[in-house]
Amino acid sequence: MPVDLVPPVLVPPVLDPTFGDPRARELAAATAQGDTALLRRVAAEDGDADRRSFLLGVAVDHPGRPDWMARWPEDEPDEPLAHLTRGVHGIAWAWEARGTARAESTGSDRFHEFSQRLAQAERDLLRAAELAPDDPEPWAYLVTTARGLQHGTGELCRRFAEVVARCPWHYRAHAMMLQGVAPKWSGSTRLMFNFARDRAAAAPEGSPLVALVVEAHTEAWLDDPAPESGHFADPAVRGELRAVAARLRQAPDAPMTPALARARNLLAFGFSQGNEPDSAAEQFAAIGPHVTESPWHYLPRDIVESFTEARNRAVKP
Amino acid sequence: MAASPRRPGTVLLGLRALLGVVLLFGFYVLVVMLLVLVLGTMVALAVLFHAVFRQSGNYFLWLMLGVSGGGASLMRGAFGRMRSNRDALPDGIRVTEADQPRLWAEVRELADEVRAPVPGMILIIPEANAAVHQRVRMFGLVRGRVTLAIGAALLSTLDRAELRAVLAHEFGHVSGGDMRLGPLVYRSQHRLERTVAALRASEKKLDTHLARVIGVYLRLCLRVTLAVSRAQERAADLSAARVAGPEATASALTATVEMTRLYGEFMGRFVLPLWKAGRYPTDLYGGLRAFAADPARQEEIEKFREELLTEPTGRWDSHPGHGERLALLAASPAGPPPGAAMTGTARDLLDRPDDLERVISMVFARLATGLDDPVPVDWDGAAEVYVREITRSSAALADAGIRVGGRWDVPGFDQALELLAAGRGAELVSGSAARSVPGGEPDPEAVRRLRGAVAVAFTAVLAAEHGGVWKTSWTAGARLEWSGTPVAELVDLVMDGPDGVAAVRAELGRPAVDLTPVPPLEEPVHAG
Repeated sequence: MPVDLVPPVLVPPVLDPTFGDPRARELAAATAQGDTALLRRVAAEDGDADRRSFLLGVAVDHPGRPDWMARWPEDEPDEPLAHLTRGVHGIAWAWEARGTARAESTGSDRFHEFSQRLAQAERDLLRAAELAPDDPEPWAYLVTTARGLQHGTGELCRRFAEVVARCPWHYRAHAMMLQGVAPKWSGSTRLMFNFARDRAAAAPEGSPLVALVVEAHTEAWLDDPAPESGHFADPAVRGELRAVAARLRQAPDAPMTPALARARNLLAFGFSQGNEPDSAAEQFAAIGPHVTESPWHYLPRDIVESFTEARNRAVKP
Repeated sequence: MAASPRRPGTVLLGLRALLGVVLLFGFYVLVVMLLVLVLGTMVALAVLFHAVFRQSGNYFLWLMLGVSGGGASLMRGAFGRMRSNRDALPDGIRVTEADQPRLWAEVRELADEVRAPVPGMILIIPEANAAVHQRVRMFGLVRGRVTLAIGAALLSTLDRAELRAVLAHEFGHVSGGDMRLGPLVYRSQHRLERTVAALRASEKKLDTHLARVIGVYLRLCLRVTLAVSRAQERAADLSAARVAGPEATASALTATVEMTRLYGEFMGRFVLPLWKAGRYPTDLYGGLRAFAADPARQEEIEKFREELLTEPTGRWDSHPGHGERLALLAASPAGPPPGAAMTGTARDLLDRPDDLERVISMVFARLATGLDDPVPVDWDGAAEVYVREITRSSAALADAGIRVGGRWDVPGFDQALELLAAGRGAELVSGSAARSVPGGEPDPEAVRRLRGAVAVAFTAVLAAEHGGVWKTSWTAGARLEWSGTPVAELVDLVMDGPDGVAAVRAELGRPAVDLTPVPPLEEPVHAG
C-alpha cells in the first residue's frame, strides 16, 4: 500500500500557515490591512469547528501588536470576536516576548513581559467566553493561558472540560491540553500518556486526534532524543505509532486538513527517528507539500531542511 | 537603667525644659562656630601656601573647599527649609457637642478639674491612643485652641473610670504647660537629626567629622529633653491620679499599652486582608472587643503584662518604664472615691456608638485603600476573604492528585484519596516516589506536610461541595463549620489507610476512582 502513494512525495515541501487554502490566504491578506469584514463572516459560520479555529488562527498570525487589534475591543466592547481576536493574538505576542527557551534559560525581564501580555490575553479570552458562552474557541485558548500563567493542573483540566462540553473533539484544544499535561508544564508523564491514549482511543474514526499519542511520545523523546537508539527506537513505542497509522488508514478518503497534516507530520517524524523508513514513507506520501512546524522545529536545523532530509531517507527513488 | 527616684518640682522641671530649649538653640551657635573654624583654617592654609611657595593661594583655597565640601551639608541642614507640620492634626472624625453631648460633658468636666482649657474640638481617631494638640505662637507665649483626639479603640474598650484617667492625663499636659515648648523642641530636635543625617550621607571626609561633633551635641540635647519629657509624663500621671484615682489611672495605663499591641495585631490579621480586597468591616470595634476577649488572647495578655512590668526606663525613652509608672501611682495619695457616675464603660458615654464606629471604620478604610467606596462586610462575610489563601493552597493537593493519579477528568481530591488508600500519600507532597528514612519508616517531615495539605484540601472541598461554611474565628482567623465529622478526624481517617478512606468516602458520598493506567493503542487486528 505505501508503494502506491509514492508519486506525490516529490512535491517540494512548503511551510505555509494557510496550507494553500484560498480562503485562509484571503483572510491573512485582509487582516494584514486591518480589514475585519471577512474575519467576522468566518467567525459567524457554524459547522466545522476545527476549520473555523484554523482560519481564526491565520487571521491573528501577525507579528507585533497590530493597532486595529489593540483597539477593537475598546471600539466594540460587546463584540466577542474583538476580545477573542486580541486574546488569541496576545498569546503569540506573549511568547514573542518570552522566546522559546525553557524557563530556566529565560531572563526575568522577558518573563515579566511574557506574564503581563499573557494575563491581558487571559482577560480578553475570559471576556470573549462571557460574551459568547457557546463558543469553544475562547476556552481552547484559555487552556494555554492556564499553563503559561501556572494556574495549576486542576484549573487546566477544568478549562479543558469547558471546551469538550461545547465541542468534544476540538483539535487545537487537545493539542494545547497535551502541552499543559506534559511534565514540562503542569503535568506528569503518566497524566500526559493517559490523556493522549484515552482521547485517541475514544476519538471518531480517522480523527487526527489519534496522533495525540505520537505527540506524547515526542515529548518523551525530547528527554531521550538519540537518533536510532532514543525513545522512538523502543519496540513498544514503534508498535504504538504503527497502531496510530493504522487508525488513520481506516479513513483513507479524509480530506487533508491542517490538523491531519500535523498528525501525519508527527507520525513521519516519529517513524524517521525510530528508523522505520517504510512507515515514514507512507506518511510523507500522504503529507505531500504540507510540512508543519511541529515537530520538525525540535530538530536543530531548518524545518523544511529537516523534513526534506527525513523524507529523502525514507523514500529512496 | 533605673530611673531617678527624685521627681523634679514644677519650677525645676520648667528650668530643665528651658535648658533643653537653650541647648537646642545652642546648635545654631555651634554651627556658626564650626563654619568659622572650617573657613578660617582654609584661609590660613591658603595664606601659608602663598607665603611658602610664592604662588597665588586662590587655587589652593578653592581646591580645599571643593575637597571638604566647605560644610555645605552643615549649612543646608541647619538653615535649609523644613516642611512645617506644626499644625497638622491626626486623621479623624470631628464630633460636635450636638453629636455626642455626654462625651463632651465628660471632657468639659475633666478639663475643668485639671484646670486646663476646654478643647475647641474633639476628634475621634481610629487607633488605641489619645492626645491633645495645642497651637502655640511666639515661642510658646501665646497659646491657641486645644484639640483633643481620642482613639475609638480606647473608647470602645476602656471602662469609664479608665477613660477619665486617660483624659485627665492628657489635660495634665495642657495645664502643666507642657504644650508651650513642645512644638519648638520637636522642630529643633528634628532639625538637628536632619543635619546629622545629611552630614553622614555626604561622602566628604570633613562632613563625616562634623557629623560626629553634631551627633555628640544631639545626644546631649536629647539627654536633657527626654528627661524633661519623662518628668512631664510622671507629672501628668499624678495629675490623672488626683482626678481619677491612682487605681483607675494605673488600670488605664496598662489597658492602653495592652490595647495598642492588641489593636496592631487585630488590624494586621483581620482588617488589612479586608482592605487589600477592597472591603471594610462594618463592626470593626465589635470585632476588636471580641478579639480582645477571646480565651486564646488571655494567656498572651498575662505574659505581656509581666514583661511590661519588668521593662526598665531607658535614658533614650520619652516615657518612664511601665513598672516605674505603676510604682509611682501606687505611692501617690488615694484619689476621690469613685461615684456612681463613674461606673460602666467608656462606650456608654457615646450616643449611637454603633453608627459612630461604623463611620470611623469606613472613613479609615477609604484613607487606607484610596477607594471612594470600599465594600462593607460583616465578620462572617469577612471569613471568605481570609480563606482565599487557604483556597489557593488547597489546590496543591488536588493538583498533585491529578499529576500522580494521572486522570484529567476525575477531581484531583478523589484521586488524592485513592492514592492515600493505596499508601502512596507521600507522592502527593514530594511529587516523586515516597521518601522514607532508613528503616523504612516514613519521613516525619513529609507526613507532617501531607497532613497539612490534606487538612487544607478537606476544608476547601467541604466548603465547596458539602455545605461547609467559613466563619471568622478570633483564634484561628477562619474556621470551617460543617455538620459532619470534624476535619481533624477526617484527616486522621484518610491518613490511616484504605478503611479510613472508605469511611470518609461513605460519609461524603464520594466515589472510589480507578487509577489503572490507560493501555497503549494497539494495531487493529485484521481478519484473514
